[in-house]
Amino acid sequence: MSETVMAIFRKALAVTGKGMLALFVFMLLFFVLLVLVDKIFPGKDVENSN
Amino acid sequence: MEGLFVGFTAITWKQLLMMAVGGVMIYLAIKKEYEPALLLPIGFGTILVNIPFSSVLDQVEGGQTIVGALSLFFRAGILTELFPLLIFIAIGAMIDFSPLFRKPMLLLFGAAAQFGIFFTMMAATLFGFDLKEAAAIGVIGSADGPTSIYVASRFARNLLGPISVAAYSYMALVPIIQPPVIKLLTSRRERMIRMDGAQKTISRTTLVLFPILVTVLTGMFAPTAVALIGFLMFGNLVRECGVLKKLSLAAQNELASLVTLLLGITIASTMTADRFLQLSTLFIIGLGLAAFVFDTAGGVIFAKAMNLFLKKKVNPMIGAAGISAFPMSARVIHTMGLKEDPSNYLLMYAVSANVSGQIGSVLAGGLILALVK
Repeated sequence: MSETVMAIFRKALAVTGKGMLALFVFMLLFFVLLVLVDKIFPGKDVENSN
Repeated sequence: MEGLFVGFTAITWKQLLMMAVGGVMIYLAIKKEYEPALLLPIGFGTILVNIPFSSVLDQVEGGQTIVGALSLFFRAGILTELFPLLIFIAIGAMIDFSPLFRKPMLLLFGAAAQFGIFFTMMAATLFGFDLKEAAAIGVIGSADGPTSIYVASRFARNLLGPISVAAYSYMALVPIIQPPVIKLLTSRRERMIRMDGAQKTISRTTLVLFPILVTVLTGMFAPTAVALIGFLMFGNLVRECGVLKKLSLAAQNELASLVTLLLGITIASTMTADRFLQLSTLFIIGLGLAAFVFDTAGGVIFAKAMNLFLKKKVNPMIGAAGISAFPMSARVIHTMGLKEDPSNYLLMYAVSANVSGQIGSVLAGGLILALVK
């Protein structure tokens, strides 16, 4: 493997680490959001509009 | 008279081969029903653009450029990212997020099952692709055609054709790709795990607030993802608001059909022999498969890891439904569950994970755009 390829690979590795971490953080935030919104506005009679 | 035979005299074996590729795509679309809405237009478009001096592409005659329809569509609809974004409105209008509210924990699978994107990106760099090209190839693993096209149109326009074909082909092949990977990573006992969760109603206020809050939250952290997630959530808001029923139906039907048609045939403008018949295309096809395999593995392994800490175990197959191929992946998991235990209904949970995969895939596309410089 040439040094250039390895340098790009290392960048990709860094993007992978940050990307997967950010994905989980976002999903955890959405999780909290879902639970909170559902708690504040609990369902009554309508399940879905369409 | 000579002009009449110019096509016959100028055609190359590569163009003939590409026409055959187009023919195979049309065959798969009609006979096997593999993503026909996309593969048929791409297949026919491939034939159109490989006819020598085809007037659907820009041609230079006497120093003057004569604009071709597909070249024009490409500049107007793909380079501006308009077509994929319009498709996101349509997809948003089709998604029902309410299953997620019944089991919000399954949102995490929508993150785990994007692992294939990042794994493939890393693998692609080892095949000599630069980081942007590798990222665009990795996004095939989003199992979401418009996201793949959107990212590729930003990062690797030269690879748009093979990336789109790989993305849509593998989406159609989810029922073939996922089961062996899941079986390899799970025991029969794990596949038989039952899941329970209460049925509950979701208020309209909740369903209306969700797309707005998700857009704002994502946008504040990753502004580059706003177009992707924003158009998706806009479509969903139109669906859930309850006062735009006609527009919601139009987005789900007419808009989706029309833009899909244009998107497919426009993508085909990149399927010319000189661009497509390259070694890189073979790599992209292979890497695309790896992306789907590692997405599935990522979801299953994450579910197994969660089970180490959970009292009520999750069926690890549900993790595999965290990819965006909706509703195909959910159906695959449900069917696999029924095969192991005919009274184990996993559909509701698999659909929840699948819906979270739709959010996850778009988010992953946005994050790739933000992180890859």
